Amino acid sequence: MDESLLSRQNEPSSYTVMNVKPVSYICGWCGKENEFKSKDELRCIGCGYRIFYKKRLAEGMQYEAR
Amino acid sequence: MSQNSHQEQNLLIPAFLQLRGLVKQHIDSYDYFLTTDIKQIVSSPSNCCVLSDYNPDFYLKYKDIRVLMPSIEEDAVISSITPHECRLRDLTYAAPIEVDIEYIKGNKIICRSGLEIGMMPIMLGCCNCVLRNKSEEELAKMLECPYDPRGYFIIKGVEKVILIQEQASKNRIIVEIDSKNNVVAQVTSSTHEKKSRTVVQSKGSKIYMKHNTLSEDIPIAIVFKALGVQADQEIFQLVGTQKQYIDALGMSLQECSILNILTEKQALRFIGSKIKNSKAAKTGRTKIEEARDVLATVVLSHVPCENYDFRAKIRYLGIMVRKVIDAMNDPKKVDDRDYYGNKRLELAGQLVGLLFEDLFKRFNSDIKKHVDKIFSKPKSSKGEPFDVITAMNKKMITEGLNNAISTGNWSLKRFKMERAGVTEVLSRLSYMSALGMMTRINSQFEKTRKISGPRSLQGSQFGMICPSDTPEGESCGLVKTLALTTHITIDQPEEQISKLAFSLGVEDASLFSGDELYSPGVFRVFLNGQPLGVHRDADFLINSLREIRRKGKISEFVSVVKVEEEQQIHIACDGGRLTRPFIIIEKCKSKVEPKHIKELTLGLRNFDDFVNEGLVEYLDVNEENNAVIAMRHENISEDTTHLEIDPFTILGCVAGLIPYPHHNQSPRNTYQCAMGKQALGIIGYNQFLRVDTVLYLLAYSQTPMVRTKTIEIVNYDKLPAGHNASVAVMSYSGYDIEDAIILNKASSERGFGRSLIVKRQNSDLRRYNNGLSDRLVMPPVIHGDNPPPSIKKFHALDKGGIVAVGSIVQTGDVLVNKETPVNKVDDIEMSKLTDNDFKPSFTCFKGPNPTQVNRLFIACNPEEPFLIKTVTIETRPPELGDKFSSRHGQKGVVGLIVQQEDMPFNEQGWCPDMIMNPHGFPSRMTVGKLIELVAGKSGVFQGKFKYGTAFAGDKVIDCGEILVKNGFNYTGKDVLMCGTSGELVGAYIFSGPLYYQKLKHMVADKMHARAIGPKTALTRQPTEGRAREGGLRLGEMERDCLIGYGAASLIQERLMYSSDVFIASVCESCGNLGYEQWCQFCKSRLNIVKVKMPYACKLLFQELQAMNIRPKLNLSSS
Repeated sequence: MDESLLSRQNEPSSYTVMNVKPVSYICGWCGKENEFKSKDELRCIGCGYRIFYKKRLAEGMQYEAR
Repeated sequence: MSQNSHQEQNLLIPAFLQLRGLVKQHIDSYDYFLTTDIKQIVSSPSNCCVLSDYNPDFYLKYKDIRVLMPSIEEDAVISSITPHECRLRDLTYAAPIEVDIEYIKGNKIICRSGLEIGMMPIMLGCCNCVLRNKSEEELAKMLECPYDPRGYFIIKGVEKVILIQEQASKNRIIVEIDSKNNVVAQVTSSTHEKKSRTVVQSKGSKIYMKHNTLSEDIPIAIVFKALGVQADQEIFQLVGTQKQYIDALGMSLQECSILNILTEKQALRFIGSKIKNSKAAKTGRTKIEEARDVLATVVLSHVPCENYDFRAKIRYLGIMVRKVIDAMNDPKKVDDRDYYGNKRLELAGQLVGLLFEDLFKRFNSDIKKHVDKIFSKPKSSKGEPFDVITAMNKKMITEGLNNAISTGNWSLKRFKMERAGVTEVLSRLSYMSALGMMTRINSQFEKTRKISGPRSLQGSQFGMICPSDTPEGESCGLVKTLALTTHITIDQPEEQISKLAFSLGVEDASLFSGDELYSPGVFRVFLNGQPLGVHRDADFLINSLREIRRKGKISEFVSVVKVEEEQQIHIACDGGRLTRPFIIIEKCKSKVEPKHIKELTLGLRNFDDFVNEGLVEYLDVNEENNAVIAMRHENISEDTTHLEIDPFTILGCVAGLIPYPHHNQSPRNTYQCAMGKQALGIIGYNQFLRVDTVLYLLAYSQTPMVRTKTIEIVNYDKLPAGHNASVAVMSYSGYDIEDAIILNKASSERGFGRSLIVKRQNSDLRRYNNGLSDRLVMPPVIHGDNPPPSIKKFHALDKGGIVAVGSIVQTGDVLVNKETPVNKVDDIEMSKLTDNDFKPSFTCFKGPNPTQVNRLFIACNPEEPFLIKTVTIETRPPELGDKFSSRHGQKGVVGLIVQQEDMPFNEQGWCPDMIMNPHGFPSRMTVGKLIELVAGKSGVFQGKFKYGTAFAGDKVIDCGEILVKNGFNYTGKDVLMCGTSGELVGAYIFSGPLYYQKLKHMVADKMHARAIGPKTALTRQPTEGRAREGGLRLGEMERDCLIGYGAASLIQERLMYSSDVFIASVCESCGNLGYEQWCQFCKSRLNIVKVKMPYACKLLFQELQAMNIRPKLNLSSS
């Protein structure tokens, strides 16, 4: 059930995203932006740190006050 | 003046804790292990070298060992690591162990220094930790909280604590009466090599020695003879020549001659024939030799015995026999097992030390095996000569240590020790729970045994162990907590102390005959339970030793105790004793003078200076018996030797949170100790950087109005867990019965009791053995406003297949859209795979409410190349059924949330946040809570914090005065108006601020109901438990009710139709279960009938058939 709903049938062709457009991540130490493909070794090009944070949504978000 | 200086001297406690910290004992013991013990282990003769049986020339010698700073090696790059990085990346906070070795390679001697043999887990805050001696700024840079207790380990990203273990003390004689009314004196000898138990026991009128290597009890006279005591007279002299000893020993000596054992050889042969699993036949030694060996190395192994010189052992055995006879004549001489002076606490350093020694021995024996294998083969002349370094397996020590700490299973073959549950995951429920765990003592007693002795509070625990902080239920009294100022000693070298004792006039006992040893006025001196010698002037020895200790020439933790009744002096410098500091009193005057305190406040002096200058000293449990300790200044009399620094230190850090605990009924304080650890609050300054699986936080935590000294000392005021709620003690609406509380809706909207639930979810992209790996996949495109749920769950993903940071997710929403290759075995190239070769394996979010994705990061570690951690934060306002508690063991759930308009108010417009029913007070007798309210209320008008420190604190009279000055009632009562009618409430209402904690038990995490839902595959019955969306069980007792009532249809409906109905095909002729239209047994389709039965019943029949039991169904129509 779930399988049929995955990208491949809704999209004309399927891609692992890593092949399409690398997403950039922020190094946890120096703040430099890094781009990876999934096979890449996780290592900051600037400082060698190995923890990377994902950037926050670029567009605004509206939250319900709870 | 005396009042004033008394007020000031408790400044010593913050000074004490500033220097030592609450977990100093853990860190001290680990420091000792890393700096001293590890070197001793490696340099001990049994460990320091490896030899080969096949090549006499070969040797490997360890010259030194060091533990470096924590680091990690990745891609041949060694980089230092911080604890926080380990938490984030699931790494182990460990440092390389380096050795300097000297060995033979070919025919050359080679020296290598700095050779790594494994990784040692590093305790946070110890001497090898990067956090040691760092300022707050430096700690902040390493993303570490300055108030974190430390003292734990980080293994694979998980914080693990090695709990303090309580044990009976080793190498001491303990006299008891066993179940058969025999007197038993036993010693557990423990050395680095061996551990054994020797028992001297009375049986009838005779005395025997028992040991687990001997199959039978040996008459004591035979043991003496075997040890080389020739004359019977000598035996009497060793024990005592007084009438009672001669009488008691007579029968035992007679037994010797009945068995016709008169010489040493005969005695040894007798013992030799009683040795369990004797190796005499194998090794070709005689029984006599073997018996002598056993006596030398196994029996009382802690008493030194070189070259079969048994004199020390003979004397020790004499003492044991004497103790047995003493106890036979006077039952009062029996030792108390629960006396805390007879207990030792094992800490992380000692436990890891034992483990490391075991692993190091194994490491060496592995090397030896490898070396022997190489040298046993004929030498090949060509090629490089053999290098031992290749035989070293670095992983063994590393993994051995890591596994033990992460599972908590301490198994040491050498000591036959098999212990589980030594470590626990550090609880980060609140700051207090983490602190409470670090000061917790685990006892080795079985929980199931129904003995009250070890559970009840012992007089000797006073001041050392918190009387309030223990769990309720099965482990009550077995799990204890250290009091605030307790310090646990570490091992100290004995040589210096024994030398000192000898130069102070101790005479070696071997120079005395047995008779002289026991003459009056002569005190026998023991060092760590070992007889050292005798001294003729006990007071001189004791006073000089104490004087030397106060001068700081020997360790401040050495204890000297005089036991008058036994004519013994005990000097102790071993590890694991409990000590605490006292102010020294001389000639009715405290040695700590106001000027010293002034210097302390100016920062010119610290606590160690007080100790080094002999103003304050540490006493252990035994030495407390020799001291006359005044509780307060005014109690000092002529005999007083010491003064308590402050009485509130008898409580631990968790019980220290309670204001006015001395006004509460004792069990209430114990309840609060359990609840204080469940309160939501601030966990640390780095709480939003941490990645615990679940973290409960309080949104707007407040520091308590009514504080205690302990609160300030343990920094609870900086990391508080609760709110100062305005409470009116009155009845309201009937939704407040049974401890329920009424909450003001406006207060809750202002942030009262608002909690944050931080959850972390892991998903990793794995790499498989065939070179393939998981992949991330772009989510399906969502069309239209109302997509089906199976597509909608992908809504939060961005094009990377990972959830967008900042988005809102709900239960079932996908966080990481991952796919796994179907074929994980064969070698295929990744690029050749099609989409059908992957199956989806996405990670979903679970949680009751819509939740925000707070942050997401990716990291890697040597095991996992691509680790994705998603952290979500949910904000939860208090709701009906959430649990709250004050600091006095008074818990309650929210019974009703009322609009502020409907709450009662006073003429100033004040309105309570919470209404508490007054019925909570009379039976609970938590007077402390009433005082907290009055004190808090007066503090509000003064703009000052009030103090409810135990056995001190602000007086109710003073607080009342302040209230009156501010125009309020002296007793804290107010005139309130009814919120609904506006009329005056017909009574004065006791109201004011109380500190309330929100506990982790929240309705949202517990609420559960279901109609039709998942079923277990095997029985087709509904699943069990909330986590699996299970059904609500109609249990045996409920069933009994229905049977009793006769509601047969209801039972059938509940137990079958709503559970696991199954229509089975049964053959009427043979009574077997068949297929739909076919009975395989009768080979016929004629007699098949459909029968409704529970699926579990059908399953049972088939399972019975599988084990050759044929259940036959006899059908009849109703």
